[in-house]
Amino acid sequence: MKLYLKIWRQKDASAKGQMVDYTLNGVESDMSFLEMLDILNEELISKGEEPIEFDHDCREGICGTCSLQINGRPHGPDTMITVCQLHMRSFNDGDEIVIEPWRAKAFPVIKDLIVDRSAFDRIQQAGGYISVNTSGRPVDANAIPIEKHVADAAMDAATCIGCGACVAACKNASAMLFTSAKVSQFALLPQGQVEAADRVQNMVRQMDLEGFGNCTNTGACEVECPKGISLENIARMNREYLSASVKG
Amino acid sequence: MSGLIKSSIARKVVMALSGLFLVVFLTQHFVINITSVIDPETFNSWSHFMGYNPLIQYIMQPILIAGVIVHFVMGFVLEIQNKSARGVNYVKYKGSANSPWVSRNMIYSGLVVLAFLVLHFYDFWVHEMAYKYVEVLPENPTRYHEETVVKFAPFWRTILYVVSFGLLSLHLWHGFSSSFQSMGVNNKYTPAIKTFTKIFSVIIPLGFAFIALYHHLNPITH
Repeated sequence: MKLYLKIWRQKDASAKGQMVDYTLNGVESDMSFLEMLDILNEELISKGEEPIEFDHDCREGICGTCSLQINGRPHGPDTMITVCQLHMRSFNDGDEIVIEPWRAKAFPVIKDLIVDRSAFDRIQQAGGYISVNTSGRPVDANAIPIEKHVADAAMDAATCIGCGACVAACKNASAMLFTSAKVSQFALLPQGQVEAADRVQNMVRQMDLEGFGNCTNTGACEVECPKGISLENIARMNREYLSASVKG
Repeated sequence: MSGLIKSSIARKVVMALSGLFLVVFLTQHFVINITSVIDPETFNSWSHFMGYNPLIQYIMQPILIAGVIVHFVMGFVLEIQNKSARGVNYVKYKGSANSPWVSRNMIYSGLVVLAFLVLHFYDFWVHEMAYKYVEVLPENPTRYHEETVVKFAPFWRTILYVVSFGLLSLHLWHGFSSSFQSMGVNNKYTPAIKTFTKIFSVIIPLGFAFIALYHHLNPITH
């Protein structure tokens, strides 16, 4: 198939970027979206042009690295997948595809389609950990009885891969879904109780410091999350935060 | 606690609590107003009570005005922060694919409701304050029904009210149930809260619109 691509090109963090048009022939429907970009880059390299920089790593849908806004949606038109799992059969011959980086003040563009998501790392570092030893020596975490539905909810939250699609989708560039998943995965489990109050307060403080927007409950993040993280996590974080703040 | 005041979650809770307070007020306002259609005498007597009861006049009325101000000022603050958090806008942004229109446009429905409140305060509250505290006219427990009906004689005012109630409906459609989520309530009762929100956000504004249209179509003739 033949595609008309409009791709954001930006030389570096301080440069002014722009959309650049490319026409790509010979795209096959069983290619992944990233393979399509690989082919475009091979063409650009063979013509002596600068290839398009884009983030990718595992190409198995689990690392959360591939961060592209495709035709106005994070990770493209399909749901519950990352870009590497998006295939060209989701598009038609002659389609125009607009490809942009995540847009958020807290995610500055480094080059072309690559953004700096270290804001997420700093939120994690502010409290997204537990300081008890669960390695099996001396206490095996699996020896602590936890109700199945609680363990399931904690695991659901823990499936967040930190890709940033929630921020990219949200009209306010809010990081509440990410932060709430990282709070919830510990808040639900006994091992997470020791630092529970400090964790939620420190992570929310860091989230606000990074310049993410406020949640207005549009639900866009939940729809676009490749791991289906639920808005229930945001409500849980709100409860945890209010409770921790009131208790002081 | 100082962190609480500055936090994004606290700001959302302030929006939620002030919004829910205004929902309670709206319900009470509707219950009184609908009597203007059903039984003018009851409307006169309740309106007189609301207008002259010291608890309502000097305690509840300032709290209500404060609630309105807190809600829209915080709404503006959040909107400015949220717009700024995007930084560079997308060339293509397909919000309709993942979120309802009403949830993405609360600032616009809110602005229309705010503009309506200015007109509504001018129409009734300013008049009432002038009657009681500027002109210091004698108490007249039977004047309210006629004053209300006369207000809806002009077609333009009736239409402005009806259109505003439409936007109020959209604002409530998202805002009412959303306030529970902001306060951390998302559990087995959430589907019921969402259903109640939809019923409330249609019935109450529709009822207000009916009252305005009823008085426009049934003027008092002496």
